Amino acid sequence: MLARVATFALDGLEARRVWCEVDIRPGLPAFGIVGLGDKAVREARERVRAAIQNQGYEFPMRRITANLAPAYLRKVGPSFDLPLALGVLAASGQVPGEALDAWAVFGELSLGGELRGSRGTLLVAEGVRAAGLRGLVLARERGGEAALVGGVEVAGAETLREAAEVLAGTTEPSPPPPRDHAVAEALGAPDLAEVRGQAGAIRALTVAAAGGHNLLLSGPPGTGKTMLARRLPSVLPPLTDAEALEVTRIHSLAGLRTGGGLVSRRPFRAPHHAISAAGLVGGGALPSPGEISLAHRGVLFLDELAEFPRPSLEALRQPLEDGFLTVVRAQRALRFPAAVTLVAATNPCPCGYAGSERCRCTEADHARYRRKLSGPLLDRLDLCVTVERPHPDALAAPPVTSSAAVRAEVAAARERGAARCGEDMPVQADARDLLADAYRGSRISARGHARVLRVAWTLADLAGRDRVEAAHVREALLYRDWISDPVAVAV
Amino acid sequence: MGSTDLRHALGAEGERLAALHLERRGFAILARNFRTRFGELDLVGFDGATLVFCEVKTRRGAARTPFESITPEKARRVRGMGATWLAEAADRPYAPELRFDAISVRFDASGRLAGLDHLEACF
Repeated sequence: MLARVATFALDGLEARRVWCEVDIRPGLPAFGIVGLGDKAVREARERVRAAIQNQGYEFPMRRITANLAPAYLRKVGPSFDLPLALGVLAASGQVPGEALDAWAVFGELSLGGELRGSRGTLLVAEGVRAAGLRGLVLARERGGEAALVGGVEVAGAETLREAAEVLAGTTEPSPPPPRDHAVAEALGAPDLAEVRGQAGAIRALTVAAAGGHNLLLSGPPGTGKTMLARRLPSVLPPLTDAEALEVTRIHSLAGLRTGGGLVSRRPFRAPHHAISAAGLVGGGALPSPGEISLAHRGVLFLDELAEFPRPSLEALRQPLEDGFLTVVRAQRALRFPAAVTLVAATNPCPCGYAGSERCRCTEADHARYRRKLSGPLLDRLDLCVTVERPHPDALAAPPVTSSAAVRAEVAAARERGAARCGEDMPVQADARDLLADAYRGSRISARGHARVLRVAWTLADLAGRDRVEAAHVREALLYRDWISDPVAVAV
Repeated sequence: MGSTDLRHALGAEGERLAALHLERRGFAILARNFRTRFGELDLVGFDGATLVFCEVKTRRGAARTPFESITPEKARRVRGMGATWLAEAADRPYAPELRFDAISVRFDASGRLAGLDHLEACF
């Protein structure tokens, strides 16, 4: 007998429908799976056989052939366990075959027959809606995530038997678990109120948040570069619903989601500097998103920028410019979003104390260290600030500001920026001259010219002005000086 | 060892019943336990049109079907044995068709015949 079950395979950030066909005929007992599955799919045979028997069904001792169609699409991971098991049960008459027509099923099975959640649940639920199916049967723990997609019935089940009974209509599917609260997630987030002094760096942080500019923090060890960077998400406006869905989709694909609900906090990713280029921008035989995509709509923090391998940093250049990237692997090209605010931190020199008497570095050390930081990458860092040791009085004084206050400032500036609807902001004549001088004097590149202007817009937005003034350009240029001579600035 | 003798006797009894079953289906038994370098070919039958090479599996008191122990590797060996028999058997009949069958013979715990299954053309 033949049975057909609908399920989905992940293909980048999309789920594609896969028919799991199961045919049972007389012959020597055998269970073969064809259809370009990976090792996990081949191993599904053992899980499916044990799960069927341990749930009190009979595993047919006949010749079983399962096909995952379309055959050209690579099937990865254990989420085909449930469709295979239900296909075997339907083909052997233990589950009514008609019941499977309107539903897609998705999930991993334990040997005992318990259902486990799989990666990409949100994407699969969207696929179910696009395919016009009635609903999705999956592990109960992932019901909340699937329920984010409207117009799809979500039936969570704990076991293979429960899934089969839900499909047969003999058991009511249990409702998805309640959404976990965004408030709980926001608790314990780092706040700028914990920072003492550092008014200059906080100003740069504010500008970065308001305009989405990339930021480089440079300074001796222990001055609070990392502490400041970790507080950038707290001053960013909350994710819009559309953004939250984008982020949830990526995190679901990467297997970072365990609970249900949307991602409510802006991502903050701080990969260690031993990361490879593929780890940063995405890769793998079946490309999976890299750290820059996991930080989409949030902050990518590279601590100890100079320690990152050169190829990893160079790989960031294009996505930083475009906000997305395309990963190409053997005949597969997948596009991942990568709109991030990059924050990098570095010491000014190998010993970290450039410009002070403690510095033990030679001129050559400085030059070598400087060369490690890729010029083209630095050109994309619009705001470079030096984080000094706070003055002893500042350590005892109350904090300069709090995340809530900066967040309000940022939100107001963003609103003014959005109100321009992509129109250029007018520039006063003296401001224009200042910028032209800087360009003529080779202080900035053509890209730098455009970027300084953008920063100046943001500064004008923050100041509540509707035109760029000379002061804004001057401040924007100041943030670029580090690029031409980090040591001099440190002094 | 007594248990080995018992197992041998059980296997021989299974093969006898399987041969009987084939004869009842109109096959003449051309060979039993034909030795080749791949192992022993249990039964070769002929009904005038088809040559059947048959692997016989006998089990006592087993919950599972004896067919499970015919692995793909074993099936490959039986095919090799069939080819050897075709090459070596003297004055074998000409047959337009070849077939590889499996027969399972099950005895219950007290040694009574519990069932006999015949899979035609299964490998």
